[in-house]
Amino acid sequence: MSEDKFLKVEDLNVHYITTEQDVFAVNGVSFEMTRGKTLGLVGETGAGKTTIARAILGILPNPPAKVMGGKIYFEGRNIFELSEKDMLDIRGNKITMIFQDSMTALNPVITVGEQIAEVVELHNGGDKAAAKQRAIEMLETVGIPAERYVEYPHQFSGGMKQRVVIAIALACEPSLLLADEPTTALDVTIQAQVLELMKELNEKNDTTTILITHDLGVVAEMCDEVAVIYAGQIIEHGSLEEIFDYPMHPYTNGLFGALPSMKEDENDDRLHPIAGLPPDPTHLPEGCYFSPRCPYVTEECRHGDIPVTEIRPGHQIKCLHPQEVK
Amino acid sequence: MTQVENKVETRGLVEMKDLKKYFKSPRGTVHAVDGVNMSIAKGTTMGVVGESGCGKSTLGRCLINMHPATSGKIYFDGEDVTGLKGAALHKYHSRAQFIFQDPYSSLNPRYTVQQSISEPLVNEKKYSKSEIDDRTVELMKMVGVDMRFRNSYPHEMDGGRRQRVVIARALALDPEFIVCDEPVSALDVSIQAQVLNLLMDLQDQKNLTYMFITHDMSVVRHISDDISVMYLGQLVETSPSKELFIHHYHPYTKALLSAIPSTDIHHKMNRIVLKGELTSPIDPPPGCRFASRCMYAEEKCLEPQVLEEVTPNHFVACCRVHEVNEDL
Amino acid sequence: MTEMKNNLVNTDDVVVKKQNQFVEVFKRLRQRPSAMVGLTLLTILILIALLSPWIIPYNYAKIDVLNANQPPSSAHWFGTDQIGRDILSRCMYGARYSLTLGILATLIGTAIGLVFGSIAGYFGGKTDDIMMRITDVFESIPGMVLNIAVACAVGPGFFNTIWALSIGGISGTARMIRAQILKIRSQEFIEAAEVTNCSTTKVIIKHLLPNAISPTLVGMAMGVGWHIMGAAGLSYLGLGVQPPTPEWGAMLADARAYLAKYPWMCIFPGVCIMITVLSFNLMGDGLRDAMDPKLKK
Repeated sequence: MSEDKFLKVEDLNVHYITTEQDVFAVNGVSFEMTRGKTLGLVGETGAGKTTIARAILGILPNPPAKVMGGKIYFEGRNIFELSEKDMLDIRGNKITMIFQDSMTALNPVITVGEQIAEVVELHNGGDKAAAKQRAIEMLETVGIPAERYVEYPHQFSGGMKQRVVIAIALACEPSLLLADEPTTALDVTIQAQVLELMKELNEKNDTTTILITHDLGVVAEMCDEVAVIYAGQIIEHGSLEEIFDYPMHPYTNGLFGALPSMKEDENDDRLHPIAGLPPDPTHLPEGCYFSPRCPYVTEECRHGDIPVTEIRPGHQIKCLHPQEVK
Repeated sequence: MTQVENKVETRGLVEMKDLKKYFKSPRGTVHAVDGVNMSIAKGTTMGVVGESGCGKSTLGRCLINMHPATSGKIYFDGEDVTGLKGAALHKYHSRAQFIFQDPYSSLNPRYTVQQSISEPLVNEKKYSKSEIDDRTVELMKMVGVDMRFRNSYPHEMDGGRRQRVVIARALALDPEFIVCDEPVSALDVSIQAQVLNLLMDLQDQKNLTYMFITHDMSVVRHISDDISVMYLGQLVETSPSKELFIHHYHPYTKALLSAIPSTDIHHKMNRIVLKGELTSPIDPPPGCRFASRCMYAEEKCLEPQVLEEVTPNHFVACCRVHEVNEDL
Repeated sequence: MTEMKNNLVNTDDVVVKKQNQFVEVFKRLRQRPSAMVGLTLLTILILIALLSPWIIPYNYAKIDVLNANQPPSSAHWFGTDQIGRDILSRCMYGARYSLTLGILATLIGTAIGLVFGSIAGYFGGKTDDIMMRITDVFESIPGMVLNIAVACAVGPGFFNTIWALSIGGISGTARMIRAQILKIRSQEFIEAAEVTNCSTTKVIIKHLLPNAISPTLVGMAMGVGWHIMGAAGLSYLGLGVQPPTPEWGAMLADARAYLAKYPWMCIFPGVCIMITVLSFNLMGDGLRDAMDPKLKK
């Protein structure tokens, strides 16, 4: 059962444990992905998106992070049971990550070309010439002329650096790419270039991608599937069309409502923010974590575990009172 | 030289005439703001959009006299406020205020909420302690920060609340004009909506005039009456907000609008992907600054461009605007 | 980790408690054993210094030639010196001079350095250039040489020693404060203060300095130890506090002739200096950790 899925996360729980308090960062996240698809993890700051990605890559900072339970199957193997040596082999080779703050991900004293070549070398067994060839290829793939191989990161603009980071991530043709807010720091016109590039490369290499973002627009551009995260739980999961056309969870609806609209006909003067604030991850509320902010809350929402139900084919929701808005 | 002599007839509450701000740098002169003409009518919001490095923040800071303008004039309510100093500047600051982008760094970490909000009043040196306290309570109510936070420090609050405190501080002296420099871009979507609503409510209540600087087109569309698009220190297009989103004539505006990732998954816009990135604002050539990335660029684009009124109240700085747009 | 940083700790139901920063720092200080050792030693030293006139077993200046050069015994725990003065009493009373010297010299040096550094950092440009070149001149002279030079110029004596030492501390503090101010200056709350019509003095005193001062506090704690050593050095050379004042350095200088024969005359003042310097350094280290905002939860 776990073999036929490319990536399967089962009931993942991650806590950050410090002497003073425990932060419940990820609380029972499960999802599956088939090869070649792009999944968007959407949620606000502190929802646990980055933690999930780091858990898949096995780079949670321990301490304070601790996996409290759950399994992650990658190509049929539970990565929590792999040795560090096997993990090293997977990390960088088969799974790579583009970090949120990629502006600092490049080493300022090594030329960008060498930084790409270095990664390739690590994974092709030390063939320097081949690594250099591959690095030049990658630079050209991301639209940077080969003669800039010998330049240093400070000679590159923000968008160019991001391309280099993407080139490094994709140089070893990973089968799973974790992209953590890859375009958040970029301007829209540059973001458009980078997104276009990522889309193109993903299609060419059949890369499976998990795209972490808070921008629903980027999700609409890039993803096949969407999972909405709130307080470390997936509260709604389905295909892009399902989530965008039939959002059912009050939080998902709230997110769409809070977005200033770009539609020409809408003349509504006020936005519809979600009341209140996300819960304190050290003291999560009982029952549904969204219940203190939810306009449709009833007494039963405040107790026990809220089950995940399949509300429409391929559309799961963790809510007792799904709302259809449109 | 008294203020009265300088009084000139202006259309808007705030008016800029050929405003320039240059910075010296080791590699040359940075033309951060290069000849901006703009007029903001009382009670309206002027949205200024552009990418990072286009000079929009510098423009806002010049307006409030945080940076002295290199040349050009700024008129506020008909008075020349360019390069004010001392008491005159203080008086201007009681009428024109600034809201910062980052609520994490725009509050003194060692000041309580109450201290931060009351600071402008304390600096005026003409209010009694009880007057200041009353006004602080009023301001906190106005921006929706609960009274139990009055002795809290910034690090004990979330981003949305901090930004409310920043807004309260800007409102303390009852200004008529506020420059908002990306006030919501550091906030999450749901909190962003709360703060935008607050800003719009305050505008309605107090007939405030805003200059709203942002890179987020959907936010600017929502809040602005007029929009100016900036590129490398110059305005390339100015128009009423509604008009701009229907008819945009400058090639850069077109590319900018098409680049916004839309949440509408069924109607994909035709995206114009620009070549390259922002060119350097250091000693730029005299012609159209967008020419090197523009798909329509030709010889005459290397001449300086002027804003032309293509339809009523809609200005575009592009010499090929009529050739490129068939509907003009 | 970024996610943890941005955790929103107050939901609407949680009443926000007012936290005093000093209480917070002290709480964190208590978790560090070495800092607590430093603090305890320091408290004892200060108590001894304060109470010494009443608790010393003998008059520190009383000459008793008959009992000269006595080794430590039950009557004289630290022994007596070449003219029969009780070394324990002298060490205890000497804490007054040494601590006062160290603390005053540090305070004066830091105060001048603060003003200097904040003016340079706030105004920048030419002012900054000129002021920093002046500190460069001071920095280029080794500390002890500078101390000796100033001490020679102003002559020996208790207060002159303080002056001599504090001048050496100015440039270090000035540089540290300037660096901090430059960092804080670029933050938006400074601009915000200027726009809300804060006077320049108020911007420096209320907004810049309180945020720049914590690394200085650490430097100050360490500085006291340094200055006590410096004072001992000057006294040893005969340029500092003059005998018969029971300053530890002066006592050392006095006893050096008898080092081989009567080592206790040197050892006990030396140990006093060592303990004091150690306790200030431990305190300084602990403070640095406790005030590091990165360690804040």
